[in-house]
Amino acid sequence: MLNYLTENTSVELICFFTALVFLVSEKDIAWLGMIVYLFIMCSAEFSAIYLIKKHHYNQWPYNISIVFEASFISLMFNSLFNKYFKSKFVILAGLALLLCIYIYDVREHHFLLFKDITHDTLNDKTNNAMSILFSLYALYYYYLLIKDDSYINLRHSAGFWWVTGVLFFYFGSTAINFFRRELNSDLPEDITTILIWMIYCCWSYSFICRRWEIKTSVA
Amino acid sequence: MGDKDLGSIILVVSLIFLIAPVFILAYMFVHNRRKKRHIEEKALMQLTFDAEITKTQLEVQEQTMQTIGADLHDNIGQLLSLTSLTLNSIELDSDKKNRKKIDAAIDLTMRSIKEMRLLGKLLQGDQLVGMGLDEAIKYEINWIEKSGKYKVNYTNDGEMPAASSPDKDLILFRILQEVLNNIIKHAQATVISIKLEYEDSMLQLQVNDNGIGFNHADLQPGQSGMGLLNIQKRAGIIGGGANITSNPAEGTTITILTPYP
Repeated sequence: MLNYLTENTSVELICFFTALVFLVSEKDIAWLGMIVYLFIMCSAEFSAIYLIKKHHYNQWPYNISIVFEASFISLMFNSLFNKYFKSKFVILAGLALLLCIYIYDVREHHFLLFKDITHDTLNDKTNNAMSILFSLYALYYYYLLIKDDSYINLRHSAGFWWVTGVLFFYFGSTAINFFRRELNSDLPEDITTILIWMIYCCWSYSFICRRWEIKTSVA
Repeated sequence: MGDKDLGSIILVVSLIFLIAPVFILAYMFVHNRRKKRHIEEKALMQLTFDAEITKTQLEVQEQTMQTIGADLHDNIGQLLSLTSLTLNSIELDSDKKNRKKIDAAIDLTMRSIKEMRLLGKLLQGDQLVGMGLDEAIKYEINWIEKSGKYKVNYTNDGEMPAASSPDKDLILFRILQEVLNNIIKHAQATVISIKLEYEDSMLQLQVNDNGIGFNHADLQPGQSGMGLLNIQKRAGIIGGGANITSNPAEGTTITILTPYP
């Protein structure tokens, strides 16, 4: 019997169920999409665990899920930025850039070839580019919040906590991704686990805040 | 540089990247708290401003009521009594004499109507200011001159801007009323000079009299409370200031300077 419940999958499952409970009646497509996205991420994680035990390679589920990761997170940023400016072109430009790097990665590493290549991260450049891009988006969202004259209670702001999760994970991952090969120890993996916990905890809390926001606005 | 040193540097850089978001998050919360405080202070200022406006309106209302009461008693009341007397003295068998008396009664009635109109205009302070500060000042001067006790000189230098500020106009007008009221009550003046000047987005209203003046140091704490302090407070409300200079036997000059519109 394979152990599917690891540190990473447990927190992902918690976040998925939180999303399912608190976002199911959501009308905003970006927030509703988080349920679908988290389901895809959980499926990718479980498939990766199965593959690594049975076939000793597990890269391709991650290579597929990265496409959904870029799309759903961009969609969410678009929804958050739209409150301040028309962000469609910025987000599409970011996605186009990621797509070009992804195609380059695929050509370089013969994507989806079912062979043992566990020590070589196929989507290295895409991951790095995504970390930088989403960190910039998160910082820009903070800048917009600072610039905004109206006051919002950050403690209960769904958008703020969602972006905070993104900033912790992708800003931290930027360094870890760059130096992964140089740090010859379990440290990068441990830090990644901490970052995964941070993003999913922040997101779970943001889903709860989102439900409060909708309840308050209806009342 | 050895592998160990490189590893340490990489570790430090990675830690900086991991800790940086914590500081950013802390800054966001500190800034947000400041923003909240700023908004609360702004709301409080607005509340104080509204309260001052209401207070000023109430004071002026009281002042106007007293003026109306005095005027009805001393002026219009007298005119109507005279009209009544004239009408009572009409003898129905003397046509020529009666014609004169009726003409006198008509004249007295016309004067009463004129007085009533002037009184009405004074009551409608907001409407007066609606015609512009310059026009409102002219009405006020007309009212003062009616008593026959004062010679009022009024000059308006510099073209007023096309976009006016009704709130500031009203407060400036109320300040002028307060100043004139003080002159009538305390100054024993015979000549009053009013000067309105607009230059470089600044509006200056200067009122000068040739009255007995006063010494700032001689004023009792309670004495300066209602009049002069109110003038300074009201000028402060519209972002301006009031300068009061006076010396015994040399009259008083009050200058209000405020950004405008």
